Amino acid sequence: MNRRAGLTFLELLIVMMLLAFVAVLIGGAFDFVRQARERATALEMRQEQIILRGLLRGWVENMSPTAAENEFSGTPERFSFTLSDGLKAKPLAQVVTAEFRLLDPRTARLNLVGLDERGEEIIDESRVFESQLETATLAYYGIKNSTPPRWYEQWQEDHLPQLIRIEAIRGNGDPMPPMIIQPSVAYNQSLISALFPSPPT
Amino acid sequence: MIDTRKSGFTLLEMMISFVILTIAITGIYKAISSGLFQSGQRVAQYEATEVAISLISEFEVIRPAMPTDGKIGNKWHWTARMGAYLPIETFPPGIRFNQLTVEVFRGNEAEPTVAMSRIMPAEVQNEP
Repeated sequence: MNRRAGLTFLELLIVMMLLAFVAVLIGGAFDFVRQARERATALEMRQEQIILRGLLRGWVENMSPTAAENEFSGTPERFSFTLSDGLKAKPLAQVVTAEFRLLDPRTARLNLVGLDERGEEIIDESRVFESQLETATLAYYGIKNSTPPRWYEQWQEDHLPQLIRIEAIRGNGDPMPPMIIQPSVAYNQSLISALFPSPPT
Repeated sequence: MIDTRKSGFTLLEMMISFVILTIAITGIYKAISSGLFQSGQRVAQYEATEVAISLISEFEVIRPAMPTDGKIGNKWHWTARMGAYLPIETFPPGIRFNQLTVEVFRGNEAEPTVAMSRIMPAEVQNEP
């Protein structure tokens, strides 16, 4: 009897069905892996941006309030300042200057330049703060020439603005979380803490 | 006569192996999806926190001119409220503190993604 040597029609149908099912599963897996990879890359970028945002906020909030020490200047495209002594990125650097810059305006970068005691550049780092932006704006809130405080596009005063604001719309149309920072607030708080080391009882 | 049916997998064995394969692949899908979802949630949580910190900074400086709620694009909306910080009786007479609470919601969600508070001296409150 030779009929037992191969598959029956029903078995063949079942095998073909299973093969089709596996093909769909594997095809879906490839698509899933591609999407997962894209999403993971986007999340990784976002996590790096989170670290940079934390760094920038810390540097600005710990900036010295003295103009000669902070050398703060702000324009619609960039602002820069000197990091306070306690926050130097590397101990060898005598002066470390941070700069936040909007480029063309699709990218925002955070740059760090450090000079040693001879004035030679020993730190030169640049990181993408945000990319693929639709629009981005910088603004500075404070008092100029004894007028009531308001938002300005430029800040070249001998005192710090009370607030710095970074706003942007991302390429997908979503807003970037607005970044509003009080310069020197942590620096001033640390002085208050040193003067009044314990809370009132 | 050689019994050829014993030389390979039976249909039942193949079906069982497919079922096992399906379960394994589904498990891997779920693990990856869940990891990505949780990472996405953490990033969203951080971004909402950043919005709240920025609003608190703005309130501390220009509170009288600030509204008590608002929207940031269609991605977030927020509310802010100022109240006396309790328990007041623990402070010496004449010293009072207020508590500013900012809640940030994602999209049209009713539950806040982040709620943050800051205690500040009452004289800074500068209520209109």
